[in-house]
Amino acid sequence: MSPWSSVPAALRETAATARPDQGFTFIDEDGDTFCSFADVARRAGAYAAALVGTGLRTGDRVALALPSNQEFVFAFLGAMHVGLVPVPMYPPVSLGRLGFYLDQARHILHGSEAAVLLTAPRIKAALGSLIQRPLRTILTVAELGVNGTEAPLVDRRPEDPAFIQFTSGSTARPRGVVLTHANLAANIACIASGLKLRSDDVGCTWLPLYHDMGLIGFVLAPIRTRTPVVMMPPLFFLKRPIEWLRRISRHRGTIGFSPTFGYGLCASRIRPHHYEDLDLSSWRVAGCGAESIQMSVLEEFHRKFEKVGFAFTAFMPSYGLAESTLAVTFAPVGTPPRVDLVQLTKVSADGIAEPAGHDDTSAIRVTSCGRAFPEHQVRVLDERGVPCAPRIVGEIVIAGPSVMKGYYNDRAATDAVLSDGELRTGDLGYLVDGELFVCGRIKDLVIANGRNYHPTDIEWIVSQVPGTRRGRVVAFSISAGREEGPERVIVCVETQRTSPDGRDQIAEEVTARVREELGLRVSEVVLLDRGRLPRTSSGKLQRGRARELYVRGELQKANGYECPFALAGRLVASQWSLARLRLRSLLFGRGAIAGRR
Amino acid sequence: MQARSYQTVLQETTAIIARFCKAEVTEHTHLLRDLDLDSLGVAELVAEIEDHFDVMIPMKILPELRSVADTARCLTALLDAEADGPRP
Repeated sequence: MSPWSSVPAALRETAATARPDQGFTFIDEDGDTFCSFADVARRAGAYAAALVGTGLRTGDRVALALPSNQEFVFAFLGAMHVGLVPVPMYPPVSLGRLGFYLDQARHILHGSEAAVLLTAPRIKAALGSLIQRPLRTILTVAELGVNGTEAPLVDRRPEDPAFIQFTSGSTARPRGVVLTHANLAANIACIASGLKLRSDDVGCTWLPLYHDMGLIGFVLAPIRTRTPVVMMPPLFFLKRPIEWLRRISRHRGTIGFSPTFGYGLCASRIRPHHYEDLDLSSWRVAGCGAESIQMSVLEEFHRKFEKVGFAFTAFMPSYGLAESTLAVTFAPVGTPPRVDLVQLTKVSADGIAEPAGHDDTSAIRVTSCGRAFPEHQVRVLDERGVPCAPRIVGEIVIAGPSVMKGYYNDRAATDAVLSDGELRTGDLGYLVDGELFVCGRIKDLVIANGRNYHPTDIEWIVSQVPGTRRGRVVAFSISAGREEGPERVIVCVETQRTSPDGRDQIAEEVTARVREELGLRVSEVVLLDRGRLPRTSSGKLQRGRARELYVRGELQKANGYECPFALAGRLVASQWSLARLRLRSLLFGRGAIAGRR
Repeated sequence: MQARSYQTVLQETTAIIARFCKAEVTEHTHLLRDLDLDSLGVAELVAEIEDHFDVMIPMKILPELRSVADTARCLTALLDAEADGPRP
């Protein structure tokens, strides 16, 4: 197979050469459905014909908000088959208050200029208001009218866009990362060699397919590498984490990936009397990425499941981001994760990852995410763009054939992160012996349960709460403290209400709305008097500055004090010193932030 | 499997949710809004409820369950359907 052949071409080849027992197993609550790779290719061809029947032409975007894994896979591959550009979207978590979801969906549909949105019947009923140019129509799979007729494969060039992955950017709303067929081919080759893929490997996943880790890692790469995959809906895993481990046991799964929280969920929710069903001895790669890697959680998982055959050496920390297709680095397979013990004060105050003694009780553990893949570079640069010496913390900058060409229709955003083929990731890390240790981020981003939330989204929702001052709200996250744990989400909002009761009411409403619309738990709501949030001379709110004041306990104190920001306002912190401050609080007791989705 | 009245199901559902969330719960309590649950918490709660009633709440219905009353209504219908015929 040529190194850059498109996924549809690879599917055709795999369909012709794979054994009939190799393919995708779709787990659903009604049972399992097995589709051989030949079946998958046929279904993709049939979906392709139906999509063409709606009037879509080569290069057109088609948005997919399909909760069913089976429908999603066929529709995605079908779109690619005829040269359409699929745009995966997440389906709504609740059909309750849809304001935020609709706003986000409108942003993605408009930003990608999708002409057709394919979704499930119950969701379609709630999304009717989204139809406005360029979106022509919203269809369910039934309405698409897929029959046995297959469309011929439309050849694509390596530089043609394969699909658009919307991802939370660093300073704005989600942006569409355009991935070409060449990007995909390059990254898939890296994944296959990084995993030391074997012919008897079996993938087992619960990851959502509308994000890169699930989609590229467990649908597109396996098509090229002819690897059977068992996939279950994320909701099924969240409800019953044991089902993931049961499927690994039953199908002799060898490869599974999850953000740290997934391993934590298994460790905390699976009761010992269920262990008898399990045999995890086949699991050779337990990948870990997409959020901070917390060694204590992985150790707990291992402690619980080693008796059913889980090997600690299976853990494989990784780092990646959508702008680089999926994976940037993998730790070596079959070896225990390499953990760096560093002095907390040195790394947080000076940005130097100075090794700590084993008796240093304040030391923090940072996990190695491995080395750059062949033909890719990973560098760590200081604020002047000069490469940092080993163990000096700086921004992770990457280059190579997996790096995107840009965001869709967004030149300014592209220019802000890409120059001369080098991508500024907005993540902070350091190198030791060429291995990457990720330890924080410059960009404003809230990561909870493996999902990225942009602060503006939280702020938008809070602004709808009666009693808050419109637009006078900032949201950010801070680490849980010295102990490893999830980030705490803080919302600071100005209000004109002064009575304690009135303020309590607002605080309750703020947490309720964010929970309802995003499924995210707010740890603290700080209510402030008018004008207390720090802003720039032009009146723009300074999220980073507010965060810094919060961490120092000054924002909370500001209420009722005279002139709280007179001095602070004059101190214009450079982006880098802000980054350092953020790093300081993010670093408390945490390992790497391994990638984002 | 015997069908149960809405009132009985509601009572049991309310008790499970109250125990699970350690909070006061009424028919009108809104799951995501009024209880201290994020999306992971809701998933765990649904598993508890399913275990108690020995039914499976289909995933495609989940987004529609907003209040305790919605949940009890859905459960009553599921239990009714099961009482009418054996599981497929």
